[in-house]
Amino acid sequence: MITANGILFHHYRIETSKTGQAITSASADLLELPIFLIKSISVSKQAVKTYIPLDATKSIYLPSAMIGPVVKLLCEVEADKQSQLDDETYTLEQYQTGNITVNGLYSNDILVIVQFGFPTWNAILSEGSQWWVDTVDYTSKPGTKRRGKLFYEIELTIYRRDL
Amino acid sequence: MGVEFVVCNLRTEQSPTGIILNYAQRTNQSPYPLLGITRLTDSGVSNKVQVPYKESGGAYKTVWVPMGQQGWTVDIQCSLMLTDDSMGASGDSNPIYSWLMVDSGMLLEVKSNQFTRGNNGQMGHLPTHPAISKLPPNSYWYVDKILINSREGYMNVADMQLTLVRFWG
Repeated sequence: MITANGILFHHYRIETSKTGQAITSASADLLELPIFLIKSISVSKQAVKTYIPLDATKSIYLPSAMIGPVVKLLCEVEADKQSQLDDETYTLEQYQTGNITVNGLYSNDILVIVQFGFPTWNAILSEGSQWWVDTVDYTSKPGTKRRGKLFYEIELTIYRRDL
Repeated sequence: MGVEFVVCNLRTEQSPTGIILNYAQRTNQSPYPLLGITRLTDSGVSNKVQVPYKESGGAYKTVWVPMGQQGWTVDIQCSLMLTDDSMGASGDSNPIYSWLMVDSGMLLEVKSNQFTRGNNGQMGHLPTHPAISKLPPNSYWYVDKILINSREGYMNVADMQLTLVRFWG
């Protein structure tokens, strides 16, 4: 069981290799990420459309597709045990040099939601849904310590893959 | 100040003379009424033709000819709040869930632009309540953009930004 605002992702990556002239792509299973504790969620959808002018003030609007849903998550993730030993000296450098287990998360990776039980918001972030990683931002804020555990902030923009 | 919408389907038919007719048909789906509107602005971008020309002195300039408007647009900013009752609900009684299910490109009809919550806590159309004149009753609007943000640390409160474009049905 994870807490209500915790989200658990399974991490995949499309890896392309070339053997002779043949190019093959395969999905590499990079296992589960640590639990992300969500601080805020932003969901956006934008229409792709064409306008046909009618007169000086009116036009016909023809929606043809949708960009999104794009979800921005501001999350906290727990530092791994090794970095928790060195109290009070956590820096971004440590974060980026291997003390946090989400270091291997890059744009264009695929995340599949394994568990997210928060009512209402799980309508969009439903279990089993697949998402492309658009951006990953490791903020420069120092970590915060709660109940003896160190957490760092991470901002993630993902967009739906399996619609 | 509040507004109630109803979701419509766009029906297209061809008349015997070959004219294509579009009309909106109401569904049973009504997104949760918007009561916490904090800002309502209308905007529009002109559709234009740019005609480049060269002056005798050699300078390059452009004549800008407006031609129609890219939409008759209304931006609505409002807050959506969950109560204890609506927290676990997954239907239209949950304001955040209800608007998370609204997609861009969806057609909405204004059912009431005088929607409010009465002293008894009941919501409904109140003819004596000030009307939102920019959203006249029975006017049709396409959802162009919808952005729902939870407030940091409070996932039961969200701010929504909704951009609607007029559909002349």
